Amino acid sequence: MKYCLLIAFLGLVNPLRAQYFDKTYSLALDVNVPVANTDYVNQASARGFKFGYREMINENLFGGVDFTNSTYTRHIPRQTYTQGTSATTTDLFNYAYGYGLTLSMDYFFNTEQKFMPFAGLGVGASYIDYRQFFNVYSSQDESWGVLVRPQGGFVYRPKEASRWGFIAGIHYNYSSAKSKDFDLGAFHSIGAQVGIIMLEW
Amino acid sequence: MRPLIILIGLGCIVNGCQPVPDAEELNQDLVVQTDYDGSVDFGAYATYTLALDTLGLISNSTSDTLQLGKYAVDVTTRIKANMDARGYTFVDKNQNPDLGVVAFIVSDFSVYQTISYPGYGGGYYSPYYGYYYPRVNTYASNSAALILQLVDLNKKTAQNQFKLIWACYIGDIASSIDPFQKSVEAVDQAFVQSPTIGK
Repeated sequence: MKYCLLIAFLGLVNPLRAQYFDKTYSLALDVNVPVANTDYVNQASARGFKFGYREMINENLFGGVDFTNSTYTRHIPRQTYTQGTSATTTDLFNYAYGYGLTLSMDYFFNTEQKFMPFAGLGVGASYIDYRQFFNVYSSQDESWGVLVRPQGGFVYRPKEASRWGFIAGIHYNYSSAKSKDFDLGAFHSIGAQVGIIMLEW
Repeated sequence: MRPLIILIGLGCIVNGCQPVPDAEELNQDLVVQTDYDGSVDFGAYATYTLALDTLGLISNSTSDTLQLGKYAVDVTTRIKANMDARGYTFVDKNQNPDLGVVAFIVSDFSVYQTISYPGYGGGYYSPYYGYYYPRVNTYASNSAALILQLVDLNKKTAQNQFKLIWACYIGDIASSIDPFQKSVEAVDQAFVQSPTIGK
């Protein structure tokens, strides 16, 4: 998969060199920590990705889309669950696979220097696939909701004229994708991203 | 060309980012689920019978109806030990026992979907469907469950069947790392989580 991603991303690179940009493509490692529903999942998602695309609206404002994914987990050691006359003993592996697609706007405080801080907001759709594995069995609940993600960070270019740079940032995710089956409310997480950004003009 | 490249990249991300638990960890212990008839006074029974050294077998992959050998011996011996420890007296089936203990293996049948799942927060009540449980999937290609049942041999249902008063599902023994030992442990656990059984 790594090669596939690399090939896909390298295809986005424009061989031209220039200082000002009006489009960006970014691919970042997206690490998230759940801050809600921690009875269900409490481990950080260290294998998530964030793919972003932006077009210039004006000199400092850029709009586009973000696609994100993350996987949260929790292992609950073997114990007995009692419900009425029924009792079950097992250990549980709780998973939440999250995907987000947002329309995002970022305000860059400057667009001509090596260090370009930005702040933004993404609003869109969230899909979470809740899975609970126990032995060879699993139960599942899929949920859609609204995703709101305020975010901030910076782009750092090695040179002012570079057509690529590093992107890093932090964000907060609010997803209304609840689960009735697992008795879970809205999903919140905080995260950080670090990756590469390609600049085009 | 560029949108196609982007879509390929996104497809790789989606397909490659649904990790699942390690199979060895998942199959470390068997799932033990029990349920009993809450209207029954288990202390009112005195004797039971059990087919020692033999398990029933229901399978899609064989026409055999009995499971013999060490596994059957280990399991039935442990069932008997637990029943004895709960104060019941083992008698031959011709000696008019109060309870019958039935033990059998169901292989390659989707029996687990019919029972409630351990749940996280349990099921919930739906005004349309009554008490509702999330769906349970079995993702093993060939799974097997050890099923134990207690039946009241003094009562029959309207369908002329003995009344089922306790049931236990133990699985998956087909993918267990140590089906012999883990099954014996699971039988013990079935009784541990069923304190209502006993005189």
